[in-house]
Amino acid sequence: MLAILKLTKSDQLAYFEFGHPLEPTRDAEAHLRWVLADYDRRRDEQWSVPPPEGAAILDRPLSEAGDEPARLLPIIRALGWYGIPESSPDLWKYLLHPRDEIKLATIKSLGQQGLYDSIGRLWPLLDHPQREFRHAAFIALGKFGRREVILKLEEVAGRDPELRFPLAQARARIEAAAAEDWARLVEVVIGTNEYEDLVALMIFVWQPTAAILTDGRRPEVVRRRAARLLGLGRARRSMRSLLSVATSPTEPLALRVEAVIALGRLRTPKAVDDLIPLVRSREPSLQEAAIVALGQIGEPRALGTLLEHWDDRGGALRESLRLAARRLCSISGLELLTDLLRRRTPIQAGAVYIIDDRLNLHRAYRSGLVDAQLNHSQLETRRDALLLLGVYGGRSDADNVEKLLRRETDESMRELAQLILDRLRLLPR
Amino acid sequence: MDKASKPWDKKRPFQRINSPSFGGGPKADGDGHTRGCRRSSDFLPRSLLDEIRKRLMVLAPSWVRVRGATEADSEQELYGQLLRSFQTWTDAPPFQWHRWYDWNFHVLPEEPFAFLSGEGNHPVGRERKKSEGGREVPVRDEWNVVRPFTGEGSPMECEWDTGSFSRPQRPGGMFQPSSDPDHDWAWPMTGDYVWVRGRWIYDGGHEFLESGGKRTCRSELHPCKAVAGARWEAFKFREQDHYVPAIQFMFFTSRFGGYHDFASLKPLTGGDYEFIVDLPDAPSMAAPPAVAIGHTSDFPFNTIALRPPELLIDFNFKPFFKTARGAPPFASPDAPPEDLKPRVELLPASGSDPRLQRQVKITIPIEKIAATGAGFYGVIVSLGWRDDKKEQARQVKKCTFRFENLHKGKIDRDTFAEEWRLKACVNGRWRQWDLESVRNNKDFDLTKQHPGHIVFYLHEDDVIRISSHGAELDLVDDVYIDNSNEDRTIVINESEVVWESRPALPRVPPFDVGGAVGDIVTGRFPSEPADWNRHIDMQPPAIAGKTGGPIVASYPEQRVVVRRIFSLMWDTFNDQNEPLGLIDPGLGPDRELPHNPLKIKDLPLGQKKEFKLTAYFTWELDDLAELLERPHQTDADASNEDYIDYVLTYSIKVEDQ
Repeated sequence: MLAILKLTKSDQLAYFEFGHPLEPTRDAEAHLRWVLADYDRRRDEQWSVPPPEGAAILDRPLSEAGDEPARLLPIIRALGWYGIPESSPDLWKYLLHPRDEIKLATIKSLGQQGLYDSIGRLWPLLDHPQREFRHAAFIALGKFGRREVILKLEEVAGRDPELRFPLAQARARIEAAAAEDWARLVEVVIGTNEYEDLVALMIFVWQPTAAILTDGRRPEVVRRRAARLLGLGRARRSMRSLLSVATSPTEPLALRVEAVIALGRLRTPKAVDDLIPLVRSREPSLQEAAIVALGQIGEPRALGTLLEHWDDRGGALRESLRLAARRLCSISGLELLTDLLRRRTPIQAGAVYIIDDRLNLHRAYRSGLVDAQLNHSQLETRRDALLLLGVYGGRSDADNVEKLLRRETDESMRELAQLILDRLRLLPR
Repeated sequence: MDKASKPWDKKRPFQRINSPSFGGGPKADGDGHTRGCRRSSDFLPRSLLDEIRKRLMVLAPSWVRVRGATEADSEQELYGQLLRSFQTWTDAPPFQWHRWYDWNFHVLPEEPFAFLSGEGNHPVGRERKKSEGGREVPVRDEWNVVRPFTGEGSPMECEWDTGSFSRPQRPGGMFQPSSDPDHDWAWPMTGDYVWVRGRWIYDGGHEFLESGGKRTCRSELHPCKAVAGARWEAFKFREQDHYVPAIQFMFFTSRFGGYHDFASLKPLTGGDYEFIVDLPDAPSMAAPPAVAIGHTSDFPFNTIALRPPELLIDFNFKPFFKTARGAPPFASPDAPPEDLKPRVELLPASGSDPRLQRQVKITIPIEKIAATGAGFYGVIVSLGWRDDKKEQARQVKKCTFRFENLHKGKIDRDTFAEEWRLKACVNGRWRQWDLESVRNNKDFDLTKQHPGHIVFYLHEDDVIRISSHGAELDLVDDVYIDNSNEDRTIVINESEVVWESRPALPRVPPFDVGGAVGDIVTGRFPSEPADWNRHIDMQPPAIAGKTGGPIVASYPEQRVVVRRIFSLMWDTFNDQNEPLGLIDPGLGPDRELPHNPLKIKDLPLGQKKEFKLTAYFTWELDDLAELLERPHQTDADASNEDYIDYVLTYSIKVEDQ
């Protein structure tokens, strides 16, 4: 069960989860550990922790991982994608790891991070007897933006026809970076398999990336990549471009969806007014993306719109609507109400929305709605039910609370029940 | 202009005398780099990411002393007219060297102080004017907001971190809380004459490339240490039960400057601060006595004594006690010790009529004040004449003023719905509004946040002056709002300095870097907050030299700070606030000039009137922190909707007191 309480004196929303959180609360480190636990599926989520902070946090799991490949691999990949050069020294030793997949991941990551000191470590690998090491080092060395390596890359590519195309890419990438021509760098990279590298550079490539996004002459796949990059890199200044694509009915649907997803990642409340109409879209993918985005942004004024669509598509959206609605709440109802009750502050009950476990939405409190939870074996469930009763219940509910008080053994619950009993007894019959 | 005296002048009603900076030349040459300002080319890039990080090198440091090796060499005073006066729209870096946005005084110095404004202080856009039909107009559709840019002399910016000297830290001590519509620092506004004392520095953050290829930095006073101004108002002295015309002299000094705090309020050049302040005319003494006089046997009186005009003085310390940061100079603003009050000395009459054009010398006993260990000292000295017969009081009008509405034009800045922070002022009283969901062609009722009227009294010949400015808020603002001062503090660790001290990458294969063999183990040393003088403004400046290849003219400590700044600005880099249009008295379109400044004599008594003032789109020129605005003098330009940023409506009711 989830209850959402709209506070009367502010725009904020308080939540009650009855002991069953819809999603765990995670700090940045816990979040990154969650990402690492299933890196292939969750890797995009690493970007909700910004690179400087994230790279510093990843130091800990890295030092804990020892030589264990399954633990090392996602960390090395995550550090590479973050692209923070100062992490490179932590990775150098893995070039000597016994497992090839660790060495290859390290080579790639060192290229993504672009610390010039790593060039000397990758350099000998261009002559490695194994093809995949030569290729990995070749691609990595093309990412540093240093012209000094071009001659050697040409020499290596001359011996290996498979590297001719990567050589052209490396040359173009090096020239763009060395010239500090970031627009050209985006042009060169966004069409390649390495396009995700641009996320780490987003703070200075967001403008050309946003220009690609809005350029209707570009291939849709490239524009979708641009939207994804802007979202992952939290390029909030690109919001106008993303909104223009997301809200334009003439743009391809998949691109609009990608733009909406990106807007959610930006987490900028300014986008909410323009995203709200998209919740009414008849396109399921767009509608669902808008619901998720509004939840990620977490702006309370989106609640009404979200709940309007509770019954859309036969109720198929309810789970995502419930999660989004929960994400709009910034205040724990438990802390808020307990504090008010203890201080004997008059409580003005605002609107309340209750979503039961069968995903039925109740737009007001009614007697009996939480009675079953009052007898629940889990303390948190009883406590939240008691609090709601305390705020929305009437004088007639005092008996119920009194019964609970008699059988309750937990001290904190007893204190709460007594406070609520005192409050209910003061209400008119 | 004389060092020790001034003529009585209604438009220039005060002057600092005996200033140590008076005529202190030679002019600053603008070469901030030699003095220690750094450029991106001074950085040592060690990665691709460093190619962008290096842009922040201009912040480490961006402010260096123009001359000398000690703080005493850098404390200077400036006196001149304010071409603009506003709280800046954005500031970098938003870390421990900024507690909130700076106040910017754009001062056109009087000649004896012109040397302070260096070779790099020429206003951008000067060359863009041409003569047309007998008057000068801009060549392109833009004006520099610091006008007149074709005038003589070059303006100089004096910056002061409002968060450093204010309590609370935001929005600034000069702003009225909505609960206190009488709060008033008499903070100087555009058009006022102002005196400023501060740290004379080059601002390397906005280096200018001259036509000959030379690079120059603007010189500034930054931070300020003290400011003084004056305004004509009417005042009710405790000796009278009515308002009389007065001059209000405002003086404020603080030890706190932001990136640089002063050791004491005491001026490093020594001595007290002395000012000459002009007085309003005294009441007439020419009226015949109300009683007949003559020989005692025939008349009740044989003698009357004509009393000279009596000067009334009031010292108001309260507003500064309320919102200035730091230890006060004495316990209560209502009971200042005599020796800490300004000394006021009525100067002898210079003309034939002792009532007219009188002046006082005001001495701020700063040596004694500083000896108290105070963090600030501020006072408004009101001076007027006893007027028992209400001869002058009859000419005083009560003004009831309020900012009513803001209407946004149709200029898009950043996003569909913008977030604005507006600041507006009437006769030195400042207010601030935070406006959300600011959309085109939308009205905002300004009375919701500030319902109270501002009430003040003026002589009927005086004017109401209005200013406004502000910012469209972006992510940099969040750095201030969402983080504590501690969270915004850049720390430095010696291990990082050691690591940063390693040689640069050799330019030839196999690119082995000696020393680059280990990890950055920060745990070996404690981290400490970066110190401006030890880690940033490192003197003497680093000399460019060959260190394994590239030319490096920065210290490892400075580069570590740059990397730290970059990390903390990851989310906000390149996302500075944008300026809103400015409204200032006498600088609006021709058709609005009658409304700002507004002559109260022209207004019907007892009637509430509303007037509209227009602010025009204003933007920053490249990275120079120079503001340009759309032209709006003529009706055609003033009506151009593409130029209009917002329209401010104010109401005013003028009554007899």
